[in-house]
Amino acid sequence: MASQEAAEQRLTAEEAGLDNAKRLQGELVKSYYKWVVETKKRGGKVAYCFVMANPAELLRVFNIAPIYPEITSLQISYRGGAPPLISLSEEFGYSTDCCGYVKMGVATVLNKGQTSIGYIPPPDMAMLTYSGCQIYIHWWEQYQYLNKTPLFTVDIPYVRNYDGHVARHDIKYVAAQLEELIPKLEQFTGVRYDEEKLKEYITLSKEAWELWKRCLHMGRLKPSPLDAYFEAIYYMSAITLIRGTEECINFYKTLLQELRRRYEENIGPTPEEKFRLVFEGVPNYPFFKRFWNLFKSWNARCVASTYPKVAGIVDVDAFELNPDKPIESIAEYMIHAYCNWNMLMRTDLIRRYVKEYEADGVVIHSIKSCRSFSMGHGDIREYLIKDLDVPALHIESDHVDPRYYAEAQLKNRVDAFFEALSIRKGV
Amino acid sequence: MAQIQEGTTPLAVFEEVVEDSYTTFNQVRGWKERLGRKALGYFPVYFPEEMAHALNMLPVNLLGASGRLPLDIATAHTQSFVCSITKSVFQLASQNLLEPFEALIFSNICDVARNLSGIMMRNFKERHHIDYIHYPINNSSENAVDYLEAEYMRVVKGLEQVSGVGLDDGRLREAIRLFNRKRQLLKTLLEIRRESPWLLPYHEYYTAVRAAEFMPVEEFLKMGEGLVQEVLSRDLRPADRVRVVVVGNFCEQPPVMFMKTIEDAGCYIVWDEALIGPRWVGEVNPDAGNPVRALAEAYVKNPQPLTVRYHPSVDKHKHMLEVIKRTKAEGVVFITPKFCEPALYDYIIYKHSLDREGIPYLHLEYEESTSSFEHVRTMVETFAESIMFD
Ligand code: SF4
Ligand code: SF4
Repeated sequence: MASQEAAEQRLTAEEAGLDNAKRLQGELVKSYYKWVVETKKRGGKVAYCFVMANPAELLRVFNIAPIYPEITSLQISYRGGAPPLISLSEEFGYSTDCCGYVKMGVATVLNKGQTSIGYIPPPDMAMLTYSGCQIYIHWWEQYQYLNKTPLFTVDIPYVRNYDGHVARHDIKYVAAQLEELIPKLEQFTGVRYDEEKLKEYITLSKEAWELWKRCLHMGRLKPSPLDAYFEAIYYMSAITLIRGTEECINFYKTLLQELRRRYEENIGPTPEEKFRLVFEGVPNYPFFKRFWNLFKSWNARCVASTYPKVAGIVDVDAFELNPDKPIESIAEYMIHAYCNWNMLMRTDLIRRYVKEYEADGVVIHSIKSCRSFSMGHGDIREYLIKDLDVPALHIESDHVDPRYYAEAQLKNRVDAFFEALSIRKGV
Repeated sequence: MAQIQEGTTPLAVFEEVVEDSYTTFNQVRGWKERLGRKALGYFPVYFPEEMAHALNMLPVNLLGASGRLPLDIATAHTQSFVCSITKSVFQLASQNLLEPFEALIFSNICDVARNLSGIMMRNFKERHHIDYIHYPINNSSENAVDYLEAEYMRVVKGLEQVSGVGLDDGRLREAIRLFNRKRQLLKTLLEIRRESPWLLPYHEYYTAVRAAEFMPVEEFLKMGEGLVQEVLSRDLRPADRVRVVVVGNFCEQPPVMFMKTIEDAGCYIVWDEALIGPRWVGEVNPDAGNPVRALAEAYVKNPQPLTVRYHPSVDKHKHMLEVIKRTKAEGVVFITPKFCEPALYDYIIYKHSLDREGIPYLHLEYEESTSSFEHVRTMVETFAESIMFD
């Protein structure tokens, strides 16, 4: 009882003014969109890119600004703007069973870039990097048929050796395709390839990845100063949108400082840390804060999660950028996107997180839209519960489509999970 | 058991094979024993079957249990929103019904099949050798053939361990010749559907091409060639029906009754994508310097579209209109398996080319367990009538 009162008095990071990185992230996103529009105005090109496995540093050499329709879609959903776009696509012929990102992305192009979060420039080209999601191919193919968007393809083999070994011919194949891509981009943009520039961007990226990794590793601390899922989703924008820049490095320096201060002052995203969770799956964006609250209200903090690793599995040293081998480095980075790992490796990563981050349980959130993430979620749950005796909760909704969010039902499941966890932990 | 009885008609044999192909696989057991081969089950859509044959393995296309099993165990291991073939193959394995197959091969046709390979591996790796082929999607890259050749060799290495037989170029060339004949025969059957569909009702056609995915190639060739002769000698008259092309059944198979209902409701299916993988790759050069490379080339350079393979220079709009022209089809029936995203995205691409040309089409969904076909009948009848009386 006494500790509960103390907890009630303890401030959250937000209340204590230790939540500046999120505000900074908002500003970064705005300046990133400005940069895209300016690049275009100055004669550069706009490329639609995927979050998983995009060669952002290489594109930067050619003065190409990437737009990530996955990110614009999630931002629109976060602000409640998904339904009209989803309806437009469904009227156009897309099924309710298609990925919501594809539907929103296509509708944005049909609307000539006008969206509720502002103008999203249409693509001059689309970078088809096939890593982790087969729907990526079908999605870009829609643009190819809708408005003849030129596609530039890099095929990235799935990590299919179940022990995680990447075949040599895979790295060679990806690197060779990147070499093939260079003259094509030179021709498309009229910009000459400059390897020194690429090395410079890779060096900057490397530093940002290193800092981001250190931030994520802070989830191992007890109590964890961050929510390595719900907060990490804000923090991962920088590495995705602006890596290869000083701003990106500065962002993660600020974040690292803030997290250190949080830890020193025993302050975190919830008043106290009663439960430590590992989170698997894509979040619900239309009700992001309410969804988070289902866990926050139990003083639960996610100490590790898989989703922020779609941009690259940084925290377990799966890949390392080497500025002296820029093309091979990009190839390895592209291979190690979270969903490009086979299910055995994904399951094992979750096991490692539970152990290394001393988690009490795992929450698995499947979404209707995404089979790449969610197919096999039931098996992960079976493995955790039956083989490892780790409590696991498997829930479902969608990442962008509010029609699939049944909060009362979710709350019942989440509450029952925490009640069982409380008994198990004796808290 | 697997010995073909004298005097049995090819269709009767095919029917028996198909009946066995859902859950029992007794015929597979019989062939293995009689021919001294191991069995390799591959998840659709494509696998270079001749490679298995050359390794003294019987290649079998795993097509699911077609509604003949409950899917309870599989549902607990997958997710709600996935197609039925995925669940039914997992269920077959979990009930140890895939026991005759020493090797199981998956590939990157979609995210669902891809993740299925991993959960099959986690649960059943003691029972089967499980592998996954990553087919290239950057098929206009000059590196794609090299890559696929290396990938095939990696897979072969694993299979050699299973079969105990090493890959030999001579045997592979021989196998390519045999499978070229098989593909030619499948093409001939499809041509009969195109030229004179009244001679070979769809369910008979389907029974033959499905049996081809289970039987030893030599026996299928013998039986299939016999069937072609028998069909061509049939004295049957065409009925007044609408010629349609059916698109979307390239992976999960609709119930046979579903397809039969489409025909019975007033259509001739003159072309479809049922079991398209085994025929799609076309003629492979058996005399090429390196036969594994020849197989890789046949995949990479094939100009025919395949929903599960992206090829930068394939034009699907053009393809759809060419199929319609070649088959003299009057309309298209899209049939998509519930939750099959690849089929749903191609539907949009194809639909727009049809809209532009004013070609009528209809879209239906199915599941392996679909058992009521009344609404299919009503919709197809209305569709066929609208074309007939246009
Ligand atoms: S299927 Fe999943 S990974 Fe692919 S675009 Fe949709 S949400 Fe992203
Ligand atoms: S039916 Fe469609 S979704 Fe299912 S495994 Fe086949 S291609 Fe994938």
